[in-house]
Amino acid sequence: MGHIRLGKLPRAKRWAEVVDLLGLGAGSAAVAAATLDAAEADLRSAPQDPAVLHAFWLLTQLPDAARSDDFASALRDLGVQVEGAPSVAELGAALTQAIDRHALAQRNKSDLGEMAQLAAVQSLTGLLQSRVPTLFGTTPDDVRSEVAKLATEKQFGSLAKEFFADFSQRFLTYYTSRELPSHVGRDRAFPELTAHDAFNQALDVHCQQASRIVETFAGTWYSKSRFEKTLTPERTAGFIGYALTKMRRELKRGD
Amino acid sequence: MSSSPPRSVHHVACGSAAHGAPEAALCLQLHGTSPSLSVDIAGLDQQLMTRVAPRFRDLIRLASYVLVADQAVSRGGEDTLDLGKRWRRDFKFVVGVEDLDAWDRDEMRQVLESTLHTLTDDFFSFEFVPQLDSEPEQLNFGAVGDDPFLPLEGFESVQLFSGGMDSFTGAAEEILGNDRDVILVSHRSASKTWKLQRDLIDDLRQRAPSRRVLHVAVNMAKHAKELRRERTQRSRSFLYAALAGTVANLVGLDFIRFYENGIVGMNLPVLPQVIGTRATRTTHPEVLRGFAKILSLLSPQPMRVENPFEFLSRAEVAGRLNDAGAIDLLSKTVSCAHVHKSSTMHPHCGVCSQCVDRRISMLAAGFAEHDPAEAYAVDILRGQHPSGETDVLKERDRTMIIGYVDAADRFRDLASPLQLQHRYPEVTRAIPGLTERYGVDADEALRRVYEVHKRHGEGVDRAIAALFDPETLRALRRPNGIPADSLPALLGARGLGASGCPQQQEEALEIVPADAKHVFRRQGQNWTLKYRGGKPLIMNHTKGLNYISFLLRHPGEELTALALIDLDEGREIGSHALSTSFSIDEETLSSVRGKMQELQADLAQAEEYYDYAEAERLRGEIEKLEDYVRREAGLGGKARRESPEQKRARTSVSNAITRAIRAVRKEHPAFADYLKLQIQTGFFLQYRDTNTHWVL
Repeated sequence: MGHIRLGKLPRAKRWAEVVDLLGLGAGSAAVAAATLDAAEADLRSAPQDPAVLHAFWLLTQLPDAARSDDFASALRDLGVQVEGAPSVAELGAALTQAIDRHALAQRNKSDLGEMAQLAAVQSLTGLLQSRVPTLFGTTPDDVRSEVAKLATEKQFGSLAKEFFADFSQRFLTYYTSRELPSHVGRDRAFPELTAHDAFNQALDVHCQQASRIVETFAGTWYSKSRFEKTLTPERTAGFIGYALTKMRRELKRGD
Repeated sequence: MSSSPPRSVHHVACGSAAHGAPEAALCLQLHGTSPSLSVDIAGLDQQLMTRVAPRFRDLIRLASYVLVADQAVSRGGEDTLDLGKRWRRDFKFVVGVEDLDAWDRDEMRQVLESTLHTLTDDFFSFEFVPQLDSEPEQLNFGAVGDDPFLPLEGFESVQLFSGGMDSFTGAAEEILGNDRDVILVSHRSASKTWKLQRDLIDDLRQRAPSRRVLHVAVNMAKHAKELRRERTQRSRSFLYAALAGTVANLVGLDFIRFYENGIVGMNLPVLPQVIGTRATRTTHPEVLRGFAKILSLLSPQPMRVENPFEFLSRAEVAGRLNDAGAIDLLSKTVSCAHVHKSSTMHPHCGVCSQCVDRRISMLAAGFAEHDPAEAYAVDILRGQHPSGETDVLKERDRTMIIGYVDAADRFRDLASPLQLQHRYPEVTRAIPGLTERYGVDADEALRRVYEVHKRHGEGVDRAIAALFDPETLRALRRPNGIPADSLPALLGARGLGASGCPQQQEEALEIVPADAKHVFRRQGQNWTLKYRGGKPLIMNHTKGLNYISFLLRHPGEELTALALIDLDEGREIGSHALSTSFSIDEETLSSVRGKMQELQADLAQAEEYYDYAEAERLRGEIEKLEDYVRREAGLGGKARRESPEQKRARTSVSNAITRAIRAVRKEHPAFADYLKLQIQTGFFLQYRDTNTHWVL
């Protein structure tokens, strides 16, 4: 029990530069750019994954659910099964279950879907944990109130920024973590575990910085689409494709 | 919206459904003269077969069929990089069952499909048909060695038993600590594992002669080579739960128990590449919840599937084994995930996730003397084989060890339960199972998971910190230093330093900060170069080094050769690299026009998604390029030829840089490789790496 399956990057030509750069201890921006070149087709396929789409589409629906008279009931209408007004932990769990059920019903999910599912919970948790009051304990009403605030242009822009930063970071490290650890140790490109961690932190920062590009328009897109009642899964898929194209270019541009 | 191409569906026809199944279907048959598999259950009298309710016989058959299908279809191998397309398979089962009413209902199909999906990542669908075969069936009960058949009345617990540390601790705790009669349910696979299980049970019986311990073991044999294509067996715990549930039903108990520490049970990913069930969910809380639902639908009363070690780390489980008075038997248990690689002398491979965790956890728990290094084929603490050979780690082993320690560090640094949810959103998948099983809310369930992970991280940290004790390091040191594959050398930062020899003092650089990792600095007629914190190189001045230095100063910028010559000769270049470029040639003109088309397409998209800022920027870019073409291109927008001066400059600068890199190569080949990879020469010159900070 407790088996873990680890893979390596293929020794195919398109991955050679990533392997070389990691072996040379190159910076995270250069590695990100090379990884995006090698995995470009993979990233382009993301909007077609039903779990990627459903994960982000649910994020677009949560703020209005929180603004309705009955938050829990509105969540259940979205397939997010909660008993009452949820805490952050309960909302995260229900969101995960909803995306799992959707993928199961579609009989279709890729690793990208799992990454997006995780990024959705991560981005929402990240924003909420920094905003809900903790001094006297968080009440479900605090959570509802903070989720409702995400309906503004600015706040949704922040949520989208976090989602695409987290998703991009997961996407890049999905590949680099197949190679990076084998370059850790004495006489290797990353002579210490802290150098390995520093590389990953720099990659994370790189993704966070790149995701600012999404923040600038995601809020406007959300706000306009919400007003025009065009926040459909189809329109959302187009937006995801556009946002990922912007992320890819920004990440390749370096810092 | 377009969708990805559908994955291929694997049709599986089982039992009676195999008759007349489509040719492409995988037919699995326990009945008849040439069955595709047989299931032997040792420890139960054959006469008991008639006491097993038909729906539970169906359950054991179904779980066996699922496990065989799981092994018959490849997931694509470890290094397949297709976003999990082959990893997640799509199975459509048609299964013959004795008790059609028990199985042919939506509730049962839904719980089977969702539980098996969580367990394996595969997609399942089930159709049930009557099982009509009257031919003999290869589902047998029989004896275990010399064990007498025990009457089934009075047993107090049914629990899974692999012979690993956790399940043995569970058995010891119940039999020795709580004085209970238990039924231990095992998978009888390799003969060495079987012997191990038998020996451990004999030890327990000897220590508690008044207690009754019944050992029940399932062995499934597949009678065709094509049923053995996939080794991962993610569905295997369904068969164990099915057998344990059947036995519990026989003896009238309303629960079964798995014993697995909370870290392995949850199996949060050690590395980002570990997506979904690349980390097993054999005893994941959500899977156990699903097993409980399946068993409850088949049983007269609600069934519980418990894991008493769900909130304990492995180090804490060892403490429980000690409390049960059986820590001396720890060395006889085997936790290794690579059983097929084990030997009598070295039952642990030493490098799988289980071995790494066990080795470090026993150090953390203070029970290392009961977990001898000799039992491990690779001793990761010393970085050597028992033979003394020190080049022992394969790349995959190194990845596992780094991932394990890195994950433990992250757990240690967690500040709150919500931070666990933020950093490991996978944890949310476990919450419903835990809230249901323990009757707590989601916050409390998350808190308990957080606490066990935090304690695990702190324990690993303590154990590893002890490895850096000066005395321990001295003991590790060989004439040529500490072995490179030893844990201290792998993790250097915890006190060892990059050289692996703490006493070794590197000469401090006088002209640059001592801690600077990357240096490319000129002082008079000499250059001091330093790469990745290595030994500094002192080189004579050349124009090539100067050109490289300018490029390093402008990472990511494209500079012309003339611009570099300007810089070398002390002239300023304009604010934009293109401002000093020479007249445009055909290649550049074509490239610029391509870029303009790309920008036009981007502009259309930006407008569609209300990306006003980007749209404005793109319009500006397009205008700039239009101006540029108008200014630089010849009459009618045609390209001009490169002038002799421009060509001379391009050749001269590129050659100078090539010579400089060649000189660096003599002293530091890796640095030269890096420069060659990162510096683009030719029409435009560029240093590509925008992330490395140079002291210039």
